[in-house]
Amino acid sequence: MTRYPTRKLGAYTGVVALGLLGALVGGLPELVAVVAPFAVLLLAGLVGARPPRLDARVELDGERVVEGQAVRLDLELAAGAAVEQVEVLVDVPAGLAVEGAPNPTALALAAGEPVRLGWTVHGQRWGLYRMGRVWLRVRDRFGLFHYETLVDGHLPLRVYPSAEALNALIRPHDTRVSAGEQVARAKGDGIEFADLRPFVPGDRVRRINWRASARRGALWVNEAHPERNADIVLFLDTFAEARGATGGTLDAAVRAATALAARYLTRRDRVGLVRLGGTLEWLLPAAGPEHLHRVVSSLLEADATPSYVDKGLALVPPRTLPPGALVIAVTPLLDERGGAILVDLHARGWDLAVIEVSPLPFTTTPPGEFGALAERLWRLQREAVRARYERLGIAVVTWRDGVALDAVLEEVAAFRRYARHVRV
Amino acid sequence: MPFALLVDLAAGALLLLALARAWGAGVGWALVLSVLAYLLAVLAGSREVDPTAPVVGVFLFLAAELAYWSIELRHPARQARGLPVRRLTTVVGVALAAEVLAGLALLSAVPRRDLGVVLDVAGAVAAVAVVALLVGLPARRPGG
Repeated sequence: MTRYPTRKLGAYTGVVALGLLGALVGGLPELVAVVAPFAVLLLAGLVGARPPRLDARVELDGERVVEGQAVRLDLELAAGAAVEQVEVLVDVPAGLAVEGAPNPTALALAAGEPVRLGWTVHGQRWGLYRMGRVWLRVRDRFGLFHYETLVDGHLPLRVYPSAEALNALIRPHDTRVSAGEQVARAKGDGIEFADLRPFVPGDRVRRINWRASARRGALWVNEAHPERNADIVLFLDTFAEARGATGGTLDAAVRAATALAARYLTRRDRVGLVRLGGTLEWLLPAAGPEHLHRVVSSLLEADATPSYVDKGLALVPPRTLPPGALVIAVTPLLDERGGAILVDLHARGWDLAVIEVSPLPFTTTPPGEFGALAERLWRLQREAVRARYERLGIAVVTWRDGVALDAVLEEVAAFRRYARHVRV
Repeated sequence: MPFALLVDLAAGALLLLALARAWGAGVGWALVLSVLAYLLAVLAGSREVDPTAPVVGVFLFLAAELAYWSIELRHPARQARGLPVRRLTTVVGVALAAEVLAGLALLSAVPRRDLGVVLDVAGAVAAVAVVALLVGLPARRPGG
């Protein structure tokens, strides 16, 4: 433990020094008597100063929780010699909340009698946290020294975003050749009826439409749309975020990306992830429940790191964006670089849909006449950006606070139903 | 004397300010000012040894200890159970030991020819008692 002198030690030393010096110089024995209590305390404190011997063990009863859920943090303290008072402070990162025992708290320890303290840690915001850091401070009997130490249990805690259950999904224009749940636009073997065509040698008998054949006097067969899977790439714009007291655009974007990844993966689609902002992170498209764990783990590390580097699509590995993939961009449209990449993606032929996480709930109007004017200009600029995307045929839907993501996806689907593709 | 009173008043005001704002360093400076005020008062007074000096010292000490205690209580961590009693015992024990020590120091400073040997013996006993107290205090268990 590290020993720190208290203010009292300095003050009492100063008083004793002043008194003894005054007594010596002025020949005043009264001053010795006046400072005697301070001198006695200093002497006793310095003679008896011994660092306490503490053993501490920190445990967390889980490593993964979903937002809103809780885990238990236990601290076991034992002392080799009795300790009058040990103050305990659990280091709680922002995004977590501690309940149960008070934090900080203080307790006395008897020699060889371990004491157990417990707290309930609530995950309030998704993220990757480092728990288990507990500060211990012991004050000596005379209050002249503090002994401090940090017990670090190195306990990681992953708080997963609480994803909304989705019913609606954005239907990709293109599908892959593997089986899935997405009804392909092409014709082939499948359940969904597509069209009728005349029988040709090689057609299966069970595909003959007998009613149509009887009516037309020749054999006709049913054509169907096959069920295929698709490549979905979630594009998370982390160039900038707007943050308020209750959350931020990145929080909402991560929750949306988690919900989308979970939904598409249950449909046997392949899901990839690109986080482009201050840092570039990507996950190649893959399928399966274990891939959802990889996607969410990657999302937990998402952070809007400020950067002035002009990053473009060239930095993204080509395998991350397979041809024909549906790219769903979740962006607050706050940084021009993110917007330019979206236009570039569209121009290169990728099927693109943009979910704009509205930053407006997290912003305040600057004071004064010019503040209001500046905000109006900013809003107009955002409208212009959205209008530009719409002219290009890119579905842009604003996701406002309190609106279900399902409604946003329905709006995207409605736009894509009537939008024309434009190459720029 | 008025100047000493002025310094003493300043020390009191500083102590109040330190208590109001939980300012630990302020208590220290108030203490220094108080000792300085006493020094000025003694210099301005008669040349005889002030017999109330040990009492003044103990009161100053108690005031300082209580002030620091008050500031520590503002800390968000609650105090462990039984700590106030143990702390009070320590403070009173130190004050009593200091009172004895200071009294003996003052007695030894006053020349008394008729008490020469008695005073020496009393001084030795007191010194042994103080050393025993100093050694015993830290070794005691909390609450013991």
